[in-house]
Amino acid sequence: MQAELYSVCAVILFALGLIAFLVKHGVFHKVLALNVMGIGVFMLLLATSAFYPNAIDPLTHGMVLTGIVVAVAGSALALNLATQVDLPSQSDEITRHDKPD
Amino acid sequence: MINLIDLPLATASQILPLHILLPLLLAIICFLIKSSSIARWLSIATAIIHLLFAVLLVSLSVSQNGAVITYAIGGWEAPLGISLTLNTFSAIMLIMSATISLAITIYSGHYFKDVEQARRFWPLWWLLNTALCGIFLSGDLFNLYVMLELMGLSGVSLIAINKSQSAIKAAYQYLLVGLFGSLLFLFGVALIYREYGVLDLIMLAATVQGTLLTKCALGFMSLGLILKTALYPLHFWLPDAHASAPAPVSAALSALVLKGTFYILFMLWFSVLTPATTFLGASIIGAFGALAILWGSVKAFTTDRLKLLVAYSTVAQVGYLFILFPLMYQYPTKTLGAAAYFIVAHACAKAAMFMAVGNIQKMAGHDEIKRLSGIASHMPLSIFIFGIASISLMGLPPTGGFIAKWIMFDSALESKQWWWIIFLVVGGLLSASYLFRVLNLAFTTPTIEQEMYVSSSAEVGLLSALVLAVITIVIGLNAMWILDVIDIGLATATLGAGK
Amino acid sequence: MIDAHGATVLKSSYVLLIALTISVLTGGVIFALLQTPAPQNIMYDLVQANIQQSGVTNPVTAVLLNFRAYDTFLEFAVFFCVSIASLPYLDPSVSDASHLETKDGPLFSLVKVLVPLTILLAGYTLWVGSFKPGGAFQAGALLAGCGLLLTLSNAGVTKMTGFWWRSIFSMSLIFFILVIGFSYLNTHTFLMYPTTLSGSLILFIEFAATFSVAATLYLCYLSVRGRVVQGSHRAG
Repeated sequence: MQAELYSVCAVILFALGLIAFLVKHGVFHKVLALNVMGIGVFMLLLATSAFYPNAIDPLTHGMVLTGIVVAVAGSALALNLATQVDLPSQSDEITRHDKPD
Repeated sequence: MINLIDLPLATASQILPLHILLPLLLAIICFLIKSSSIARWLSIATAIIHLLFAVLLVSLSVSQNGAVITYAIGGWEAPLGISLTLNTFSAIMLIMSATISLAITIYSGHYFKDVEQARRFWPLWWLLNTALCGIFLSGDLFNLYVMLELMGLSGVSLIAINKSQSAIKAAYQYLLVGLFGSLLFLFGVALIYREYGVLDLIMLAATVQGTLLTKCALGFMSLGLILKTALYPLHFWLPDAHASAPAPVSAALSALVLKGTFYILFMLWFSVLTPATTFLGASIIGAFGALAILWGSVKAFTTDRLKLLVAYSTVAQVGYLFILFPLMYQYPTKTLGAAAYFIVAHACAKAAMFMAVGNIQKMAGHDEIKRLSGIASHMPLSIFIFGIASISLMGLPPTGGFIAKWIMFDSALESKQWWWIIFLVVGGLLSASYLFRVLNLAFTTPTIEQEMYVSSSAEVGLLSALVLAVITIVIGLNAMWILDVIDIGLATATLGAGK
Repeated sequence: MIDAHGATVLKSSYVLLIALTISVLTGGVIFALLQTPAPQNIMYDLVQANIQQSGVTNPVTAVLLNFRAYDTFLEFAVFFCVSIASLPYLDPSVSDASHLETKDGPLFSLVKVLVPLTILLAGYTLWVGSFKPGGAFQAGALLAGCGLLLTLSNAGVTKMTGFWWRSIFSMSLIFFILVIGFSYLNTHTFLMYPTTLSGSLILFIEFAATFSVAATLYLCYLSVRGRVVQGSHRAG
């Protein structure tokens, strides 16, 4: 019962991050939304180990650790690039070359 | 070809991890050394050795009569450890990527004049190659995720090399899209693990069933990979990213990176998670592919920049790849050959085209199509390469593009899905329209006298692009080379699951 | 649609549509999840069966650095990629003041105590990873924290583009490849450690990884901070 609850919460967290990524504008919001999505996925992975009586699944723990590192690397690069973009004013919109489709 | 049959399989299969280790080693070396010219020559030498490895891999796969070759890393068998897998389809992908990498490596040596850019390019370029080889050889779902991330991050860093505002913005958008797609993929992996408890592709192929959760997982993974392969309408990031990047990077992105993500998607659908696939899903994907052909061709026809035209052409050509889905669903035997052929032909043609266009942009200083009239007299080799690549993209004989489309026609007829043929034909006509737009302008005499400084050594770097363009004709005349290899592995191309 | 601050915001009808679609999808996934039977814990038993040969007693470390060391190897490559991308310039001819500025003050006096303690803690975290939760990344993050503290108290490094710094960034990969080569000479298999030496080899890799991870995280912080500081100076 507890493990099912963890899985459901993980999926909801992922969905919240997804909505935030699509809806929110702004550099920081999008990177944060990606991180929330990532945490949702990691929680879903960890929730599978909650089904076991001794609650340790070394594979999922390893996957989550690797995943966290990769997510940090991605976020770091995203912030690095974002700070190099010259913002025209207060707006964080990325202007496009061609007319938008 | 070197005869590997005499070596025992256990020894010969050690070339699988070596194929991935070599580019990674070179990335470190290129990062540590100071001189970018040493890095360049070392890279060219290594790219040649890498190509030899790929040839060995193909001959190894053929010598096993197409059986899937696995290599358990560390000696730990799945599901405890990760294994590398090789079948004939991935062997062809590997030799294609090694050939195109060699061509781009030679071209990049000439392209980057700025020391700062060159020093940053080489290590990132080899990391991209590592990720590509890793994707084609991987046998584990989570390993695929890490490889996808490596490919995405190195691709983004390569686009951002020249530090111009348009490149940084395009790279940033591509990064967000890439991370988003990877997370969707990882969500699917988590769902799969929840259901089956294993991540190994071969074990999954044996145990997977078409339950609702598996279908959800396949849906999320497909969505993430479709976003990363830029299928309409999720292609919005591609034109900027491919057009703002330096020319060798554009070539690599269009020719190789998209094929890597497509390979994963294709393999998931038709080798690993096949019981969860539906004809409806495959047809929807095919329908979007058809829309991509139309949309990409229209945008290519109306755009005014040469690099954007080639990028939109990629959007259109990706549509063909996705039309393969419903065809593969109904008629796998022939369509697998079409898939391999189309991927190889398009990769060679597009890489050659981007290299030629990059050369034109560098020499003329801009890439506006209207101002490039009469350029054929100044840069004949670039236009010649563009011409041959165009013929392949249009699907005219005697190029590889023609063979690929011919097999697709055949599949569509055999599986009684004749409506896709309309799009194949229309697509060919549309691509002719926008490609001739460039060729036409290139041959007319300019009305205004334009000063174009073109040195005599301007087109030396294009020799490798010329070889790639010639390859598209060679594989068009010798269809049996690739198709025979695919047919050998056809029964086991499904990673031993059987269909 | 422009909001009060001049930034573009999605129309509320689009937001509703997106939220609705995703809610429906989420409901579907949750429904499918609840229908799936509980999974079996195959991995724990498999790991326990092989853990003697792995050289460590912590099952997670065994999975990360022995059974699935290939993934960790590639993860180091991802970090390496980020360090290449974040370095401001690679050309050695670009000169920059590379010195440790020191300032006296209460913050710096506190830092003088905290940094050595944290380094000690990082070393402990690295070593304890063999039997309890810990390991290279945690230790590396601690060391990167030290770097942050030093920068915030005006005592940090400003230039990380020299040859030795670049070796530190690639140290994890280099040491890993050395271990791969050494193991191959003994066992003739890629990434199969000789059993008696597994524990030491794993510690060897983790030791190098700590420094690489710390340096890369510190570099990411420095590069973002540098631009944000520049930006605020321009705008202010």
